[in-house]
Amino acid sequence: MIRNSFGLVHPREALWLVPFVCLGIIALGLFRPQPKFPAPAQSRIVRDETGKPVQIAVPFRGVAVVGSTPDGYLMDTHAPEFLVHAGDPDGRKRFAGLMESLVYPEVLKKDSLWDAGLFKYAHGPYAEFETLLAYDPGVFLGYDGGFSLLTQLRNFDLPVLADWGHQKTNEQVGFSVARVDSALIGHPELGEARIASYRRVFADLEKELQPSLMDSRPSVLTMAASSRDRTGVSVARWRQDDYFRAGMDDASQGWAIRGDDAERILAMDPDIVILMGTGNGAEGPREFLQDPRWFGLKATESRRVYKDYGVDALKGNAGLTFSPVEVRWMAEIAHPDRLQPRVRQLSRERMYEEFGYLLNEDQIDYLLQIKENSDSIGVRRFIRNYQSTSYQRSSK
Amino acid sequence: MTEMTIVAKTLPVTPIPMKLSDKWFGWAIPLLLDVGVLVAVLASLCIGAYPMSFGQAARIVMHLAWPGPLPANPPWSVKEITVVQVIRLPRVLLATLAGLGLGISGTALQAMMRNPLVGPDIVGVSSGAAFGGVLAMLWDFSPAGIIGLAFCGGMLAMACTFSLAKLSEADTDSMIQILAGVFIGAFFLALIDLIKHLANDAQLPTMAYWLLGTFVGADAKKVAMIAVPTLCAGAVLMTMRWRLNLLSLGDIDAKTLGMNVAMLRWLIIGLVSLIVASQVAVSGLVGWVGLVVPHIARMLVGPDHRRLLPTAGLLGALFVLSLDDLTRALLKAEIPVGVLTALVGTPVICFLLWKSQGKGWGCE
Repeated sequence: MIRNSFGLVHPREALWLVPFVCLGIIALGLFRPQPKFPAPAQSRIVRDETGKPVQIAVPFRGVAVVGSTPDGYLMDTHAPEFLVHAGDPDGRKRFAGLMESLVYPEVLKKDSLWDAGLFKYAHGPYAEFETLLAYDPGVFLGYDGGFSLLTQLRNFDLPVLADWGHQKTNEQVGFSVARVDSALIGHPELGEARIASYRRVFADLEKELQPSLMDSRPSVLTMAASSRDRTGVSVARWRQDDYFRAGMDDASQGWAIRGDDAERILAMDPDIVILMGTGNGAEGPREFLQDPRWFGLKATESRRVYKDYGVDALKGNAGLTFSPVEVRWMAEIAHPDRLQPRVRQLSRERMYEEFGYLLNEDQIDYLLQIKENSDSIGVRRFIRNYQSTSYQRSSK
Repeated sequence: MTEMTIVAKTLPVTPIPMKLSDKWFGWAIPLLLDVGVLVAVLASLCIGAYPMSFGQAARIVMHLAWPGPLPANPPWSVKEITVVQVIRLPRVLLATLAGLGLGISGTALQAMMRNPLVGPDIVGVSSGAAFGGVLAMLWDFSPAGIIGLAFCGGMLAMACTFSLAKLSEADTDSMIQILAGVFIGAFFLALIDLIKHLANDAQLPTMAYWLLGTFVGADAKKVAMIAVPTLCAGAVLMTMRWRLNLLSLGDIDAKTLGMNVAMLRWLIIGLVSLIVASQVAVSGLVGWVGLVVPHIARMLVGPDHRRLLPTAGLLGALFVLSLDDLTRALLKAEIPVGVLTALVGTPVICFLLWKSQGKGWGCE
C-alpha cells in the first residue's frame, strides 16, 4: 500500500508510476558520453581539404559516398572497385544522367552499391546513417548537405573526407577534390595531372583569345526561366571567372537579383543569353525566342540565346574535365571571328585523355545541344563535319 | 486543498463491492499496458537498417540506464551501441513520450470540458503552440526558446478559447467551447501561414516539415525537452485523477464537494499546455491522438479517470510509437507521423461515432 495525503492507495492505482519512472531512467541513459570508434590497428594518413589528417585503415576497405554521387570520385581515381556504397536510389537516377555513367556502366548497374539489395529500406537520414555503418567502409566521402551526415560521422571519430563546404569557387572545389581523392587511393600524381591538364586547356584558350587585350566584350547572362511562372527567373552568379576567360562581361554585375524578378532581365538587356536547366518547365532557346517577355532583349533580336554546353550530363563533378571546354564553347559563341572551331574536337579529346572513352558523334551532339540550339545564331560551327571557312575568311 | 481534505476525511465512505471483471480490469489492463509499452520500446529498437536482436537492444538499454560506468569489455560492438544510443533510442523515446503526453492531455481536457469531442488540436492549444514554435524559429531562438514560446502560444490559445466561450455567456456549454476552440485554432493557423510567408528560404522548409509532425532528427536534447515537461506535468495530472472525476460531474457538483473549480481548471490548462507545447516544440503538430486515444481507453477501462488517465497515456504512447515504427520500417519512406495519425485517427473516430450512434458520447 502507498500512502498519500488522502489515505492509503491500492498498489494497482500506482501502476502508472512504472512507465514514468522507466522512461525517465532510460532517457537519462542518453546523456552518457557518445560512443567513439577506435582507431584502426594499422593505418595511413590522408589529409582532408583543410589539411587535417584522417586515419584510413590498412588494408583499405573501400569508399562510401554520402550525400552525393560517385562521379567526382570515379573521375579522379578511375577506381570503381573500391566503391562499397555509391548513394541512394535518387542518386542513382542522377548518376544515370551523367557522362560518368557511360564510362562506368558497371557502377550504375550494381544494385548493392545503391542500397537497393542490401537492406529493406533506405530512405531518410535515419536509415542512411545506419546503412552507412553497416557497409563498414574504410572512408566516408562526399558532400555534407541537408542532414549533416558527414558531421555526425566525424563526431564518432569515423574517417571522413572531402566536405567541401568552405571552398569558394567551383575551381577550388575541383582542385581540392582531385587532390583528396587521388591521395585516398595512394596516387596523388593523378590529381596533379588532372589539374595540370585543366590549366593547359585554359592557357591555350587565353593564348588564342587574349581576353585581357579586348576593348569591348559582349555582355552575357546565364539564367533559367520557366514558361509556367511568368515572373520566375534564376540567374547564375558564380561564373564571373568563366566570363572573363571567354571574353565576356557579366550582364548581372551590379544588379541585386531576387529569384522572382523577370523585369530586371529586361533592364540588364544582355547581348547573349545562356539557358541552364531542363526540368520544371524550363525554357529552351526556341521557347525563349518565342516568349513575348523577352522580345525586347538584344539577345532575342540577334538570336544569340543558347542552351548551355553539357546541360544535365555535366551537373556532377565533371568540372575539371569539361569546364575548360564549356568556357571555350562560350568564347566561340561570343567571338567566332577570333577562334578556331575546336569545341567538338576538344570534347572528344578531353574525354578520351582522362577516361580512355571515345565519345561518338551523337553524344557530342548532345553535349553541344545541337538540336536545342538549332534556331540560334552561330551554332553551325559546332555541327559535324563543319569546315571552318568562315573563320578563315574573317581572319583574312 | 484543505477543504478537500476535510471533505474526504469526514464523509463516510461505504465500500462498493467489486465485481470480478472490475478487479481483473483494475489490475490487468494497467499491468499489460505497462509491460506493453516497455516491450514496444525495446522492440522498436530492433527496427532499422542495422541488424539488432531484441536481447542485444535490451542489454544495451539496461546498461545505459543502470547507474555507473559501462563495462570495459562490453558484449556489444561500438556500432551496436551507437545505433541504439544515438540513433534509435532518442527517436523511440520521443515518439513514446509524445504519445503519452497527448493521451493524458486529451483525456484531461475531455474531463475538464465534459466533452468527448475535445482534444488539444480542437481547442486550439496545438495551433497556439505551433504558432509559438514557428515564431521562435523565425527569430532563430534556441531550442529552449522554442519550447518556451510554444508554451506561451499554447497557453494564450487556451486562454483565448475560454475567454471567448465566457464572452458568449455560455462557457459551460460544451458546443460553444468547441466552436470557440475552432475559431481560435483557425486564427492561429492563419498566423502560422503569415510567419511561413515571412520566413526566408532557409527557414521555410524546416518550418513546413516540422509542422507536418515528425520525429526525424531526434537526439538526447530533444528527448530532455519533451521528457521533463511531459513526465513532470503528467505526474501532477496523474495525482489529480480523482479530481477530474469530480470535475466531470459539473461545476456545481464539484463546488458543492468543496473544490476550487476555477483554480483547478487553470491548473489543468497550464499543465496540458506545457505537455502539448513540449510535444509540438520537438516534433511539430501530431494531431488526433489526444482525441482518439481517450475514446479507445474509455472503451477498455470505463470513464473512471483513476484508470482512464494512465490507460489513455499508455495507449497514446503505444499508438504513436507503432505509427512511427510503421513509417520508418514498413512504408520505406519517412512519412511524417502527423500525417499518419490523421490518416488513422479519422477513420477510428468515424467508427466510434457510428458505433455510439449518439448514445456513447455522453456515457460519463
